[in-house]
Amino acid sequence: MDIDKIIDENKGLKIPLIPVLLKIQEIEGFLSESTIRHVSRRLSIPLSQVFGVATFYSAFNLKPSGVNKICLCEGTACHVKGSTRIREKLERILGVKPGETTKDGIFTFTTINCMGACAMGPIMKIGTEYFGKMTPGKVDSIIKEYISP
Amino acid sequence: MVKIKSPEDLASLTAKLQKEKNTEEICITVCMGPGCLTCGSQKVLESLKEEIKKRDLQEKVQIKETGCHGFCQKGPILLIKPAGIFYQQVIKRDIPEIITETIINNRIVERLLYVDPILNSKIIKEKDVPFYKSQYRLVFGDNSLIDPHKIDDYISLGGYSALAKALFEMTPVQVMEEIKNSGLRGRGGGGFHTGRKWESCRNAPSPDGVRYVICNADEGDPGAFMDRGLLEGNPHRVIEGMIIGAYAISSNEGYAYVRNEYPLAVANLNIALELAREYGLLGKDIMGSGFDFDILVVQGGGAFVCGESTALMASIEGKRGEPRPKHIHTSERGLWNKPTALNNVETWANVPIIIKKGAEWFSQIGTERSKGTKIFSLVGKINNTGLVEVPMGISLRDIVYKIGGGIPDGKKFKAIQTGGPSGGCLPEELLDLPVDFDELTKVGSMMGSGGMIVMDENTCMVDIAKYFLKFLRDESCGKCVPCREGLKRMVQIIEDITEGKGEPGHLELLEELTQTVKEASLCGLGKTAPNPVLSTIRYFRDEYEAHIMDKKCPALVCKNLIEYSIDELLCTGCGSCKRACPVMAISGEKLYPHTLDMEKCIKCGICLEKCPFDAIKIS
Repeated sequence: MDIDKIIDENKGLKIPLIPVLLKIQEIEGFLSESTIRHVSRRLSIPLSQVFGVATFYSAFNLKPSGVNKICLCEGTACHVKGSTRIREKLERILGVKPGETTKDGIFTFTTINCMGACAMGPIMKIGTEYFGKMTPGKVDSIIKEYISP
Repeated sequence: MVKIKSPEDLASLTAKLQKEKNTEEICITVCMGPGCLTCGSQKVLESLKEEIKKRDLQEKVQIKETGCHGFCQKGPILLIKPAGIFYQQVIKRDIPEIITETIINNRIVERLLYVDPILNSKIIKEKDVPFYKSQYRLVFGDNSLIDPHKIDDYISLGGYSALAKALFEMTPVQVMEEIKNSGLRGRGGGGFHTGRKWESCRNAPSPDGVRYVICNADEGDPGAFMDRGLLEGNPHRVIEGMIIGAYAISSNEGYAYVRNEYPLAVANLNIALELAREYGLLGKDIMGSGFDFDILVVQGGGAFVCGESTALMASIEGKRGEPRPKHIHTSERGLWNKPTALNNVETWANVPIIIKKGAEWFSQIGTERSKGTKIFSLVGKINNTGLVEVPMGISLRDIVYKIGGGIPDGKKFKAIQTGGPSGGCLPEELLDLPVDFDELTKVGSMMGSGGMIVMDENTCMVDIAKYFLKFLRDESCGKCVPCREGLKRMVQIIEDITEGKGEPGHLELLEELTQTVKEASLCGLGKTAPNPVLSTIRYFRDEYEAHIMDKKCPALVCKNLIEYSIDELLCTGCGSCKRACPVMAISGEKLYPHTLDMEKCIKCGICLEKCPFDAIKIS
């Protein structure tokens, strides 16, 4: 689909590469090798540059992600209030490290440098839902709801 | 929408909007800022809309969705006008009662009022809350009056009149001089004089006359969200500032580079830009002045280094966000090698105020070399977290105690971190320091973009230094060796220290490395990366020594250096900890004191959180 449509819509921009990659990822969830090759050909930008950009910015995933994206904030305020222990707890119960997806494909666990809601830290986000003032003890029940809604 | 074709058009629109504003009408303002959103203001808003509809009050009661008010700790926040009633920590269930009691029966819902923690008295009005009382909300104050999706809200408060003044009553050079005379310095961290930057950009040769204006909204400092608060809450003020700046340096094209993590800011800014275009305040022939200027929003890709000006410009150009040496300033050769004026969100937001009220008025606020106000994100171990705006020169103590309300749970203050990963940690002895660009730099920290993270006795300063080093190691773009390799080695040393493998001489080694990284790195990221380490060694050397010599973490944070145990006298044998322990390290019979097997314990701290009797001890 629609990769070509996105490319066509943005082709006229002075700076199409990053917006195009962001939009493709929004639809496909990640950037596959073939997508990157395709974008490079269609925009006439060297593959090395497209790949360089896709690997440089943390917003781009080169691997498919799980159904639910768990994102833990590791900003300074969240860190001071104990986000490390929440990360360890998530790693333990999900069995994955940040950046990885669980074997059943239900969760992808990522961390972020700052979500910009520092006053309510530590903050965790699943999909579009925020959980403020988190503690390791609250993790289990929140995760359970996503496994069997 | 009718186009505004002259300053008179704008003046009459402003007058009309002000006249239409019914000051008697009840208006319920709901804060939809980042803090309130995380604790459910969306649900509060929906339920409010439903309830108003159900009771057929649409004619009588207006609902306004605004950006961040600042007092995030007490969110979701509701403000009821014209009375100015301030309700805090409102949940969905409270809405019917608020409507019945306050809106219909004119009574206060006591339990939703803010309680002054010192006087223990309830406060009804927002303006009487100590958190707001000690602030000077010059730039941020209008947030609670404006629906960011409605340009008329901004115009009715006199918005875009500074632009009219600049375009029709001043020459570009006069605008530039005004900013120069105001003493405004960059709010993004560096503190460079804005007017001087504009001047060198204006005077830089550009054969085809192309110059660019950029708004740096890549707010990457962890623990800071002022720019998000401004962009989401009052985008027009930033846009107005950018247009005025563009006029001063004669640029027709502007970019706003917004962090990838702030999708709402991107959305609000795009809506605001569209509305400004419809009114003729942006685009071709602005307000009939003949001046053309437009702004494009660029979403970042999530890289901290892109807050650095040359890296940001590379990113706009669609490349990897790697910085370049700055022998030639970006104001002379920036985006696509053209003269470029790049300023931070808050700097741009100050511009319309200066033009409207004059440089002389503005320069009376603040200290001799730092003028105006500064917005800080006051977070961490402090009672009142949120966004605060204070005049330059206020003491750190006033911010922490008068506005912030001190440290929670009666804990002792240990340090305040300013300036993000490029800044430093300041101890209690420096609390009376006036907050301004030069004073903070003198003591080894910096103003930075405005993150202020408060730490108490339970925060380990070595762990904080490790945190920042790891952050910077991950965010280093890898282009220059001192930063890429130096930071890696520094992390290794500091990890050894926190794991109890520290050796005498490690501190000196760290200090030596910091010098190399500082002197030899290419951009600001590397040049300032040692600051968190240097400032913590300078002010908290005893903590480092305790880790290295005694293998102890005085704040009881570093896992390898602490042990958990159960106090037999306090333990009631309720079993909460035993059930919660993920590795079954706790055993014991019900109603008898439990014991903890140190061999199995992974020091996750869950028992500590679950124990209702404070029987879990760390030593």
